[in-house]
Amino acid sequence: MNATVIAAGILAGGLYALIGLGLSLVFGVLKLMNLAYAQVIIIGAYVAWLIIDHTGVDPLVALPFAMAATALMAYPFQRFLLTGLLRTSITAPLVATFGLALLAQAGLQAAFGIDERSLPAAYGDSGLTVLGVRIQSIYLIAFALAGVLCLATHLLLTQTRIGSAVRAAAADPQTASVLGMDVDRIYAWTFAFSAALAAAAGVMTGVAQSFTPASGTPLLLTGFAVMALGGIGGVGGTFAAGIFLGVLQSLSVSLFGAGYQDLVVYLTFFLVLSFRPTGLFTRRRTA
Amino acid sequence: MIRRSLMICGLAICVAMAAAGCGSSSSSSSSNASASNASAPASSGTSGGTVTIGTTIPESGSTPLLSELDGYKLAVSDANSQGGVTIGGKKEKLRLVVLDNQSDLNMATQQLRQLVLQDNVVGVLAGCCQQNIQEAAQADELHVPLSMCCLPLELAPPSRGYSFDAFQTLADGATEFFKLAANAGTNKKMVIVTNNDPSGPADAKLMSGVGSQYGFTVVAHAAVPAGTTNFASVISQAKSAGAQVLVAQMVPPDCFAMWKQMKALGYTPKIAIGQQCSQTPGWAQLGPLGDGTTTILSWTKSAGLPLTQHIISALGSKWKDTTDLQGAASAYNAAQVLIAAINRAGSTDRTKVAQALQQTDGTFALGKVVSNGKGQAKTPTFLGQWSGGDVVQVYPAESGAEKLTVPPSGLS
Repeated sequence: MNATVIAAGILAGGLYALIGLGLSLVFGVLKLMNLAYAQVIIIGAYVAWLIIDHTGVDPLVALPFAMAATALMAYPFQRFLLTGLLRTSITAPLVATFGLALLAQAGLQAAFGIDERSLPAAYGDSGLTVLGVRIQSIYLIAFALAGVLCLATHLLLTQTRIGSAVRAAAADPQTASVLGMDVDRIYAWTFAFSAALAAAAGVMTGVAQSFTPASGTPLLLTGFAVMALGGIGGVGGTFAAGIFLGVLQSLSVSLFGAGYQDLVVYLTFFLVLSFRPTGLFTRRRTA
Repeated sequence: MIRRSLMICGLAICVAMAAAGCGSSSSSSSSNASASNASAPASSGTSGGTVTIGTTIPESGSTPLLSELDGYKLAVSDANSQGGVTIGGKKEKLRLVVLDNQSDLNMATQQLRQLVLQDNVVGVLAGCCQQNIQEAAQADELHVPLSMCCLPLELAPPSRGYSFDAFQTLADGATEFFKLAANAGTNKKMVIVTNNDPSGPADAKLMSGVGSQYGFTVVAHAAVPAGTTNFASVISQAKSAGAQVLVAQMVPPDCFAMWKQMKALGYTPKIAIGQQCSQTPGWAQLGPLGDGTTTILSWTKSAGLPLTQHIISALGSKWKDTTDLQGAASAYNAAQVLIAAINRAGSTDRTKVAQALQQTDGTFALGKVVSNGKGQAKTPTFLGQWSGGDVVQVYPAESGAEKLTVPPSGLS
């Protein structure tokens, strides 16, 4: 066990938190399990790739544009498709997002092919030494970005009128609607914001690793794990859960070998869901 | 509003399912201008002076093999430009029926049966890789000659007289690599990282076994699930143990993540080979980081193999990477082998063609192909190194081969 391994786990956890944040937000507010979320991450990565390929800018410069573009693409799907389905049943939007995920994957494959792509950046494969521990620059950047976006999301939800409206719509959409809030529009913008967060995760994943049209599924599983561990809808919990997951993975590899890393992670996921379904980092509610 | 939403949802799902290949469609095309899908005479596989061969190959889905398909089409076109094949002393044109199995093994199985039972093909050109294995068993069962492409001989199932595999061996690849590494001035300490699917441990065993014959020892080893992105532990072990040789046998995304992490954490092996991952054209997407990575090849532009310039001039403008052209050349070779067997048999009788296939002895696109009598023929192996977005041959030293760069420039 060495400090490099633990540091790598902590920093990787920042990226995991970024992956889980949008998923948790949508489920917390809309009560929608967005099975297309992973494809939104990949779409964000491809949008960034297109921007970089045409303009030559750095991925961090392309990041806000990729986030905005992905959010704008996501808005109409929620506004005109999923919101209506949410009123009909729980399963209809689930099936719809699954179909959208397949459609997105097929579309990306047709447009970009199946070969791996990576977003080029000098910090993508560079490292630095902090307190004698060697760390990857990109994961430090992703960790910082996750922190900033988690804080921004928290402030948006708790300190702004828009955030109050979102929380009201999440708590009781019917009463919120009676009080004059346009719940459909709130849902759509929440979904779009979640897509923007997904795009940020996609850009960071593209710089740190690689992406293909089919590489979304492991990201979705990571997002579910972070969401469950952190508690649904909790921003701080999501950030902590991401770090917890990253460290857990690193420790399990170090102690048991890489072959067991998924087993340890999903066993923990199962145990948390069984004994503390509200998440590790949420306060228990008492009657 | 709700009804409209439901309709839109249903439409989206239907389109998604069609796009994902859940429908029953398959495409059929032919490389012969006079081809049609009119039924051929049941027993012979000919149609008005045309001999039909077929292939079920992924043109879409998760693993399209378009360069291999182009190799098949080019071989058929070249044969037809020479008049076709000789059947009963008469020249007859070749017709290639192409079915897109959408990278679905089940669909490939159905389509092979369709080619034999409906299209009455005289012989079949296999898809690639895992599909070869399934098709070989089917070909033996259906008694149709099958010429395989791009499957290392150790992975090919035993032939029962109808399947034939002409390709390199994994053992040769390992041997050539360690011969190269032995002259690279390393300390012969090796780290092996593989995926933990069935081929990973087998490959690790092969590499460590062959490596030990050349004095190499394994000082760090990891078998990781596909999708792993954090290699800090094994990189740390490799650094501590001073390993100067890296053998990675993983899917490309895992290699991408590992190479980036190696560079960031300051681990630079003197020689690094990416089996499976650096054998695909996508490795170029790593950019300069991928330069210097060694890979095993079955064909290169500078190896002096037959028809190299013809393949490059015919397909080089479409397939610029050596790895793509390698796929086309390997497929061209498989098609040549089958066409030669049909010519030697002088008949469209499948059993006679299969017997001729098992007696293959000639020079084709991958070099000398001589049957071992068990449905296999070993072709040469080469080693290349990535440089500037393409692979250049570094072993064996031939005219045009480059000197191995030590350590890999991308990781330095």
